[in-house]
Amino acid sequence: MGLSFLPTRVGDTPLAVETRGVEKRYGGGAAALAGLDLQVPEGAVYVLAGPNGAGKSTALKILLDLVRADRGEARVCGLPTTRRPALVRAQIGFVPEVVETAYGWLTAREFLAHHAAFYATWDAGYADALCQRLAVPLHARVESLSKGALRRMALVSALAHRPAVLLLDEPTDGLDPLAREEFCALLVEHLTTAPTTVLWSTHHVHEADRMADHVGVIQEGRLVMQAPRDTVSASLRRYRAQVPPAWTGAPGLNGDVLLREGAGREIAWTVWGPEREVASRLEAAGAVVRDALPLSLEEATLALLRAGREG
Amino acid sequence: MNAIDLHPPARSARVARHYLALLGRHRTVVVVTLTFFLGMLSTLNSSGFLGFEGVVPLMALLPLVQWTTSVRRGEIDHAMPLDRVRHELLQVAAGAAWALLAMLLPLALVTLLALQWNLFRTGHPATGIAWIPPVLLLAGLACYLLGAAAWLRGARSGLLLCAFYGLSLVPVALLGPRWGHVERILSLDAPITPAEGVAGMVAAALAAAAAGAVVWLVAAGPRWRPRVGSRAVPARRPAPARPAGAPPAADARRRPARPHAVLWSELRLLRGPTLVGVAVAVACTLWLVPGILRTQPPALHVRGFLTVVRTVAVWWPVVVWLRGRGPWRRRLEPLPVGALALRLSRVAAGAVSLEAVVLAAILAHLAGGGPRLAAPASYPGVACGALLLYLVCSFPLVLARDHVVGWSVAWVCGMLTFGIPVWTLFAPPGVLSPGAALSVFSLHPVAWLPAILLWTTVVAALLVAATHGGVLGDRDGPHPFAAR
Repeated sequence: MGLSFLPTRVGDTPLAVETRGVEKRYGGGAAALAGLDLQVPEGAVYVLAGPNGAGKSTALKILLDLVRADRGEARVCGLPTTRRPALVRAQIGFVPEVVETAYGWLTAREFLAHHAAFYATWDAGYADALCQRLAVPLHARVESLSKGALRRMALVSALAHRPAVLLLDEPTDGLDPLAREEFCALLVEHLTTAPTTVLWSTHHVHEADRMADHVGVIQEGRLVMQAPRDTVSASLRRYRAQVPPAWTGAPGLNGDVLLREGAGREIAWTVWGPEREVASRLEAAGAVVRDALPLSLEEATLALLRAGREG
Repeated sequence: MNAIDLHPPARSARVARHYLALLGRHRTVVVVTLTFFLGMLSTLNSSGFLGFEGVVPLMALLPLVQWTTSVRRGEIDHAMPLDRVRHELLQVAAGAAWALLAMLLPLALVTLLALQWNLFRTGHPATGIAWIPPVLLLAGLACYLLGAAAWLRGARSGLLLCAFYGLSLVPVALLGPRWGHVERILSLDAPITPAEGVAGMVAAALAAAAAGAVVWLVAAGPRWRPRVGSRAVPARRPAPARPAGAPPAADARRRPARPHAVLWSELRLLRGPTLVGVAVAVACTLWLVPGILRTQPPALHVRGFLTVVRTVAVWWPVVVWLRGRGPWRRRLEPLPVGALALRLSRVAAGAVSLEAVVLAAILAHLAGGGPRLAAPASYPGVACGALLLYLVCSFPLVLARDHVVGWSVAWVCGMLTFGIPVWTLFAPPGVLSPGAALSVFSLHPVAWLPAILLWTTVVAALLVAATHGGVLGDRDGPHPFAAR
């Protein structure tokens, strides 16, 4: 089953992050990215969801020019990432998936001062406030920090220079629920004070549910779907219906069905399309539609990933 | 371009100042710099600058101390708003400034004292006094830059050590028969004409410039160097299939790993460094030393061979324990074996691999056809002496699992330039003295066997105690030396 009916272009809006046909293959192995066309509008909170190994981290590394693409082009704030990487990185705040540094012998305060030396727009007062808010142990050596404390410190280093673009690579991985909540609250607070585009790569989509206004689902190095959150909410629904015996489906609709669940006369189909049109087609085929439930971001992502895998 | 206001990238001058200050706050860097300082000061005697010839090449190791004291650089370190090439060159420049400072102070002091000494002795300053210090300074800078290039190229400490082994013999290879003349110049015994002095300075400046060019090429050559994360992860080998019908061994009685299995595992981990060590030792012994020094007195052939063995022995603990820091080690642990047993197994495996390297060097020396040791019975003494040096230099490395490279290098450099000479100098002479034990590395060894047996036993016992202390300290928390 093809998923070509799903949107993969955001539309004519200024983009803060953009990739065109980016391909990357590591050491002759399987393709990490196979023609990625990412479009993150300015000011968006874009959630890039996908399973492990889908190419999310590679995409972020290409945006930072830590990894060079084999083919294609990436731009951040309109700047090609490979031409002026230093200028590109000056626009970006980055929280890596694994906070690993060669400067483990520094204290957290010194580590942040180390970062401050590189960013002309570093706001020391804001950094202090963030450290206080996140309870970063400033006098402890970086190598002795727990995973959560490392994440919090990395978040401070990413936010304190008020970047135009924030790249978060599984930022809440390994954090306890309280810390995750605090992280999300802090991010919301930051977004209200500084205009920032957020590209949030995660497989814990529910954490980004409150903030996300754009969603991209990546699988095997390619975008399955990319759309504003509102579009996804309006177009992707689970239809529960009662169907007559020996029902063969709804003509004209089968191509847009992502998932077929249910057994016997009770079905639960996840379908992409305008609700009214989908419901009328189902009813025209003899089904009695009980309800059309909107999906949460996580449910939508899961449905898209499962459809992509089965397709 | 869109409407977003662009933030400027980092300014090079600010970053350079930052790195200078950063290295100044790095306690290990400061201690190692002081070690170099003390090592050079320990050469103070009437032989002028002769002692510097052994210390200046050690500058090649300073980048290892400065930049690889912790785990490898991570993405957060690379994602800085500064051009990568410029970033790395700034790091090297800041480190080189510290290297120059480490050499400048003792050189100035030795120069001053040599000046006074010659004025007192002959009534006029030695002719080389104006030329030798800048030449040594430039030579040290060249060594530092070559070490930095190796660090940039591989970011692998083992590679840096191998590069150092090779590079330390380049001057010998280039100078060859004139090496003895250089020694006389450094000792201020031979006069230097202004033309010779200028030629020496130009040569050293060219060497430093060439080393700088190598650093630039290495930093600027992206295709030579895999970028972060671009290394392919090797596929895991599939687990061996259980024979058909065999019951799972979930309820089988578990037991710790057997000591010989642990030792064998450690030896297998060391097979790479051992092979490289054998290759380096054989190459140095067989090719460089006898080939280049053919026209020199036979004593120099033998001294070259002994120097190779001694150098390998004192650095071997660092090689062994660096091997233990990699991710492959972390994947292996925790093993079903006691921490003390594991650590001692590593020491033992290191000793076995070192003896293999020494044996290869001895065989190469014997096969080379050059002059041999005066007494054939001294060859086992060389092997035993290498073991003793290996054990002595292993102390900082057994103290914790995540040992600190900088401290290890500082310890070895300190032992090499300061500890061992002082030990042999001030220990009471006699059959059982440390000097007798280490006389196996001299041209005329005394009766070494009782002293070697005694000191090897003593040092081994102390090493076991230190290992035990290291295990206890490891359980209490981070390594005490890990504090910056």
